[in-house]
This record gives sequence, C-alpha cells and structure tokens, in this order.
Amino acid sequence: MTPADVFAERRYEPFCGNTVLAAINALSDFSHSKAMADLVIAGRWKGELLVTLGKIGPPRYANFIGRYKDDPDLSVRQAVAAALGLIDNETIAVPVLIQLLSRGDKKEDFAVRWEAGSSLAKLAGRKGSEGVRRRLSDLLQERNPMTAVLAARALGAVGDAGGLAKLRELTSHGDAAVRQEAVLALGEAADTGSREVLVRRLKDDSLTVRGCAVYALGRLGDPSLIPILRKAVEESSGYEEKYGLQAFDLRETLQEAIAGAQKSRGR
Amino acid sequence: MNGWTRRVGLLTIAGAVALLAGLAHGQDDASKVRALIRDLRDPDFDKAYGAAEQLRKYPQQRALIVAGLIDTITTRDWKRCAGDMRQTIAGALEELKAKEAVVPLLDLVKSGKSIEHECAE
Repeated sequence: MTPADVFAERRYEPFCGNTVLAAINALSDFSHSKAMADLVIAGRWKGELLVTLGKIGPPRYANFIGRYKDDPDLSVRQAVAAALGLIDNETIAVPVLIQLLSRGDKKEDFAVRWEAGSSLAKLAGRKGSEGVRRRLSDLLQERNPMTAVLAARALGAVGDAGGLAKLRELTSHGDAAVRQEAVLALGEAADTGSREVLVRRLKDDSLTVRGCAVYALGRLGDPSLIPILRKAVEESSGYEEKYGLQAFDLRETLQEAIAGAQKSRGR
Repeated sequence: MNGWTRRVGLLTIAGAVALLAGLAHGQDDASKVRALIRDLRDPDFDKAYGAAEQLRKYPQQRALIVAGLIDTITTRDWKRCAGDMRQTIAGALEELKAKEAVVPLLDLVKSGKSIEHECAE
C-alpha cells in the first residue's frame, strides 16, 4: 500500500456496486427530483439517491438533502456531504458542509469529514466563492487540528495561500495523524513552495509520515529530488527492519514518486 | 430507348433492389431482437443473460430494444441472480441513453425487488 492508495480508498463511489442506481444517476434530470425524494423519505437507497438529487435537483432540494446530515447511517451522512458539493445552493450547502467537516472525532467520522472537505473545495473553486473561502479560513483557527487540516486542504486545493501556509505549519504538529494529513494535502496540491518543509518530513519520527513525504515530493515533479528520496528510503529501511512493517510500502512509494518525477521531466 | 434512359432505368432498379434488401435485413434484425427479448424474459438466468449480451449487437433496433428492456426489468423475475439480471438490463439502458427508462427504474426501486448483486462473478 502507498499514500496514493489512500486517496483511491477515500474516493467516494456510491454507484460502483449497483448499476440500477448508476443508470438512474446517469439518465435522470430535475423532473425526477420529487420521485427520488419520496423514495429517500421511504428509506430506500437513501445515500445513492441523495447524491443523484444533489446532481440533478433544483437548488431548493439542498434543504431536503441537509435534513439527513444527522442520519445514524454513516454512508448517508457521507452522501449528504457529497450531494451538497454538487447542488447549486451555497447559502444552504456551506453551513451544513462546515458542520460535517468540523464534527466527530471517531475514526469512522473521518470519511464524512473528508467528503465535506472535498465538497467545500469544489465550491471554493467556483466563481464568486469568497464566502466559502472566508468560512474555511475561519476554520484554520480551530482548536481541533484535524478540522484545521481538512479546512486547509480544501483551501489548498484551490491554491489559497492561507490554506497552504496552514498545511505547512501543521506538518510539524505533535500528532502524527495530523502531520500525515497535512503532508498528504500538500502532495495533493502539488505545492512547489512546500519543498523544504516536505524534505524535513523525510526524517519524521513516524514512518507513515515519511512515506507521505516521499509521495508528496514525487508529486512536485522535480527530478532533482530523486537522489534525496532514494537516500531517505534507504535510511528508513533500517528503521523499518528494526520496528516492523509500517502503514506504507516505502519502496513501492519511492518507485511511484520517481515515476512521477521522471514523467514530469518528459513534459 | 437511348443509352441514357437505359442507364437511368438500371440505376433505379438497382436502387430499389438495395432498398428492399435493406428493409429485409432490418426486418430480419427486428425479428432477431424480438426473439432475444423473449429469451431475456426467460426465468433461466443464463439464457436471459446471454440474450442481454446479444442485444448489444443491434444498436440500430434501439426503439424495440429499449421498450423490451423496460418491460422486462419492471415485470419479470428470474429463478436466481435476479438482482444481477436487473443490473445488466439497467446497464444496457444506460448505454442506450434511454432517458425514458428513469421513471420505470424508480418504480422498480420503489417496488423493493432486488437490485443488488447476488451471484459470484
């Protein structure tokens, strides 16, 4: 497993296991909103149909979707987070998404928080999205560091300088999970301004964070980093032998990073 | 009859023959599609699944196929793997961009019939 696999695992794909619902999602339009909402109310395939409603529903359906933000089923809350990133109603969607991003410290809540962050990044990338960016910037001061890192990731994804600066700051946080997310987000944003910060993480106490740093530096597309990455993985291998296997396969991560850097050289 | 008139006459006959051959071919395809739709309705999953795969070969018979697929997915059942069969048919409707299938598909979801993957690959 490599950090790139983490992104693949986190990608929300509500229709991959059900072609009937996938066909409805692909073929429907706004005129089917009411029939879908009725099915959601009846409790049938709530998550999948909420996502489709987000895609095809008129803006007023944001209220309906938001009603399910406290659903006991995690997959429904995740669907709400995804759907509100699709519907055209920022006024209703943003406060609900901010709430979904900010709450829950259980491990299973993370999928909902991540999806809410992804949706907020989509909204922040639209024209006239100053309001969304302001709300996300407010979250950078949150006491909960995971909330701050997820908000910074959403801002960083649209190239916001404040978001990227916060991510760089959080790469030295005391909690390895926070450092991991900050490094992953900088890699996702392929932020060349973070090179030095990321190189420092190649010597992190956590091998998981080191693996994320190798991934993130590979994303920068700078072939001059290849010898540094090789050396870092060599040094980490001794550490790995001593303390056992870690979350990521460092050699595989290195190969992916080198391939990324070399591909960039060919461009 | 001069040469010019004879040539026009021959061309007209050739065109008519080609048209008739095309129509006959179309009718031939239509009857094949009807037979496949009959197989699709068969309660035997393997037979029905095979028919669904074969129907992909006749995109020019779209109207006939879409009507058959919609009727089958909403009214028929299969002895095993019924959810898989419905997924296969829904996939075919999506490929054919059959927007008219949405309401019947929503009715299917409402009916509570299985639309889930049930059988091993």
